[in-house]
Amino acid sequence: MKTLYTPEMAVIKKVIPQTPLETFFELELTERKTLGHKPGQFVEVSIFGLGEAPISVSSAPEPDKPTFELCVRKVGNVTNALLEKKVGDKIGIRGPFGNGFDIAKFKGKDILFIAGGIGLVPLRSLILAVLNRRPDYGRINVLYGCKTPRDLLFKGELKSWECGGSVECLITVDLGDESWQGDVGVITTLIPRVEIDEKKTQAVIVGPPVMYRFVIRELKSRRLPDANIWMSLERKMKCGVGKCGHCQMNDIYVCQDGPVFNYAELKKIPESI
Amino acid sequence: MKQFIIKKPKLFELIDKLARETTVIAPVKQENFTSFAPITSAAEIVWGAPQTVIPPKQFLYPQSEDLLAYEFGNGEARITGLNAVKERVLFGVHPCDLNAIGQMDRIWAEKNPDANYLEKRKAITLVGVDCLAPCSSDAICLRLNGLDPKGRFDLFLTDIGSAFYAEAATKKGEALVEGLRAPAKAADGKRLTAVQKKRTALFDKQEKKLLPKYKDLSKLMKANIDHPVWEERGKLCYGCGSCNMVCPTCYCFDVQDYMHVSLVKGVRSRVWDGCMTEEFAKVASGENFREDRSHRLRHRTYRKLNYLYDKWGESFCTGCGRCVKACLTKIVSPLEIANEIYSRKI
Amino acid sequence: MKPKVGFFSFTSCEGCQLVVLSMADKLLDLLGAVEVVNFREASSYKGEDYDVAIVEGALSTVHEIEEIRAIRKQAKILIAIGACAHIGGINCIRNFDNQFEIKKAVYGERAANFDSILAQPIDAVVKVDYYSRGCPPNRDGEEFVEIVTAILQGKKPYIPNFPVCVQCKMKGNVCTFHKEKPITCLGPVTRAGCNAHCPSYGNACIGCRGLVEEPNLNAHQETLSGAGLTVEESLNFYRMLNGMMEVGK
Ligand SMILES: Cc1cc2nc3c(=O)[nH]c(=O)nc-3n(C[C@H](O)[C@H](O)[C@H](O)COP(=O)(O)OP(=O)(O)OC[C@H]3O[C@@H](n4cnc5c(N)ncnc54)[C@H](O)[C@@H]3O)c2cc1C
Ligand code: SF4
Ligand code: SF4
Ligand code: SF4
Ligand code: SF4
Ligand code: FES
Repeated sequence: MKTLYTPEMAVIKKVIPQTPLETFFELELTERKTLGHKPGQFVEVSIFGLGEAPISVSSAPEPDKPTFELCVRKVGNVTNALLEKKVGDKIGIRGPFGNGFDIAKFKGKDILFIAGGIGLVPLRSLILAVLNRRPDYGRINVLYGCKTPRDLLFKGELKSWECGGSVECLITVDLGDESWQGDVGVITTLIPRVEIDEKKTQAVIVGPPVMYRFVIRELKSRRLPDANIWMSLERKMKCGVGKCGHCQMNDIYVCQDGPVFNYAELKKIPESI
Repeated sequence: MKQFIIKKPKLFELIDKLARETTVIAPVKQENFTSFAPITSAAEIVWGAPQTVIPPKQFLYPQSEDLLAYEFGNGEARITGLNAVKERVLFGVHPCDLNAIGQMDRIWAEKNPDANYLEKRKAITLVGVDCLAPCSSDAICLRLNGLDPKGRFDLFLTDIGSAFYAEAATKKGEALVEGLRAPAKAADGKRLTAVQKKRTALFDKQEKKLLPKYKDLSKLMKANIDHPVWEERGKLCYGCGSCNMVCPTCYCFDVQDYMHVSLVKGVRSRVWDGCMTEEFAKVASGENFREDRSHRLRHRTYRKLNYLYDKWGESFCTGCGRCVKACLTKIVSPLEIANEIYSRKI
Repeated sequence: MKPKVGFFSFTSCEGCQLVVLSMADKLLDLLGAVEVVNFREASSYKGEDYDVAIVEGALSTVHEIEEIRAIRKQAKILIAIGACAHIGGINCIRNFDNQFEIKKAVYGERAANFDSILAQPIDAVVKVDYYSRGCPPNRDGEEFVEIVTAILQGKKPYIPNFPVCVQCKMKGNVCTFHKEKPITCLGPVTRAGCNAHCPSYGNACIGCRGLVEEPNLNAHQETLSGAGLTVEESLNFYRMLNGMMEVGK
């Protein structure tokens, strides 16, 4: 009997190590044509014998594309095992889950993407979706911050987005090395360098919990209204379907009603940030 | 709703027969308490007080339940089937627990229906028995709208002296007592009303008073997120989850995989979990999204009296009193918390 | 290739070895997964070839400290099994008395000749990779095999960090504090994983699996004194097995 908790199988098509800790996967479902996700949604990745972990879908939604992409950082049982997997191996998938970004809200707007560390993974899905219909949007900036140059994800891609001239990327690291010639400092130091139009700019932030407070303060000092700020939150998750209770903040189930929230709404949820 | 009269000996005979033919689960003696367990005859049943240590939720949503079983062959996982569900009669359930089951029926069916619960639920015939006196000094059911079962049963029995007054809310309930029931007459209805009136007066006298109005509970909670009561009581919390485990409306779970040592097969199980425990909201990075025990106590209380109250229009504490008893430091009683907030305005 | 396992014994009753040997139905499965190369007293370990060392007992002589260091050098994985190895256990009761008097009581006039020091858990001297907790361990009949399985899988074993009460309640036990004749219990501050073995048999938990990471000892002091225990009696209760932990001190 299939239940809420029965995974489907997916075959690993590509494995590309990104950093010593993070690896990129391309997957294909065996029983369905396409995952059918929205940017910002996630799947529960299942390694039998170890458990499940919620992982954001990193590819753009393309209805005809049979594959989808994940980028995973090894931190524990499931993620460690995932990084041992090879092309041709099968893993379990449930989902997609969560609300995802409502891309229609960004039409005709300037978009300021702000990613910290692995936060670029869910953002990439939205960035690619936006780039697929570039003329629909105004100015696009990507601000990306990492601990060290070694931790940068999607390095090649960041360049290619810029090359087209359609996106402006600013990258900073907390701690540089000999070869690093870019910016050094926390991500908030990049914000003064982008143009913000209170009416038009939509800021989309994804990063570790500590980052949000500082980034928001900076954006508020540029008089960006709350309703123009979007973010994706992390919480412990076990089921992904609004039952197990782990992801709850006040009366909100992050796995169902999130992980994407508008800041104006989040402010009403005391346990959120 | 259909009303019947069932003679006591007839009902006991029926229980004996059912116990032989199928599984009947009812409260039986366990030391100075009771517990729900399969019975072999009506004589084993403890009617009324004392209450069971844990609620009957375990038969619909077991402490530990396999969600998947899998086997590895050729390096690939193959998902294997799970056990079929058995028909059972859950007998002697008190009104507070009937209400809780009614609430859980909504929770598990909502949005993403949970077949693991719903299949078991379908296979249960739910027989309630009315309480004529509070089951313990911890009971707060009358105050929290838990004493009226509101039709959340297949069959509901009230002892009116010589016989049981039976109400059937479903065809299943009617069918259960087919052949031994007589239609209730006006006189029986009068006796029922008299029994209920006396009982309610007794509960009102014995149960702790709720100072705020029941309908104001949710608002009261919402307005007092920073009340010192959370910090003061939270300081004495063990994070022992007892109040979660014994609560008929706590339903959070953890999921764990258990592999056989041969590494060729395993199961994924869900196990009762509780929002009061240390690791409930803690993620791999070490970040704990509800680290403070006082915040956990608030979360638990809000789930009962605010979040789910607002969503479904009733308190999700049905007043069974089990957490009041279970909590060794006496901090968790939703009624006492509400009273304290109400009388200590900030 | 099956990992090679050595089993070593320090100051203890050697009951943990017995527990492993007595897991009748699981033992065959276990032996199918690992190869046991040593199952003797610690002193005879030398020169053996093993990857995993399973160590029982507390350290209570200088000699034992040298031995555990040598074992740690050889073993890729070191598992401390039982309360003595994990938290010092019952051996630590002696630590709270006059050491000279104790030695004299045990060894008589020749006490000074005996190599005997304050009892300590294994991790007071070397790094321990995994713990199989309890006295005796494996009270629920599963945990030891689960730990070995997890190691074979390359996974961190799941060991709860919540109190015994969670599992005690799941089992539907009458809390020992609520019995007709109440008994005081260490369950609210002790780490679960034994399926509340002792309360399930009508006894109090005596804390054999060690404390949870954040025990609320103030609350427990209130609970114990509410049940009529003096501070002294409460301390002795902890010191039975948890003398080495902060509370015992
Ligand atoms: C919506 C969402 C999207 C995410 N997207 C990504 C992503 O794209 N790439 C990535 O590498 N990581 C992502 N994470 C984090 C990732 O889920 C955790 O790192 C992962 O669950 C750790 O599991 P583990 O078994 O390896 O670690 P363990 O420490 O063994 O964790 C045990 C279990 O606890 C739960 N858990 C632990 N940490 C987390 C966590 N941070 N969030 C949610 N549940 C957790 C999971 O159920 C996990 O299986 C995301 C988290 C969320 C909530
Ligand atoms: S909160 Fe306490 S009294 Fe209310 S239903 Fe749950 S266990 Fe019973
Ligand atoms: S409120 Fe009481 S029963 Fe609940 S976790 Fe805290 S100490 Fe345990
Ligand atoms: S008997 Fe001990 S472990 Fe069980 S609930 Fe009571 S205090 Fe907790
Ligand atoms: S109940 Fe306590 S003493 Fe008994 S086995 Fe469990 S942890 Fe050890
Ligand atoms: S992850 Fe289970 S409710 Fe959200």
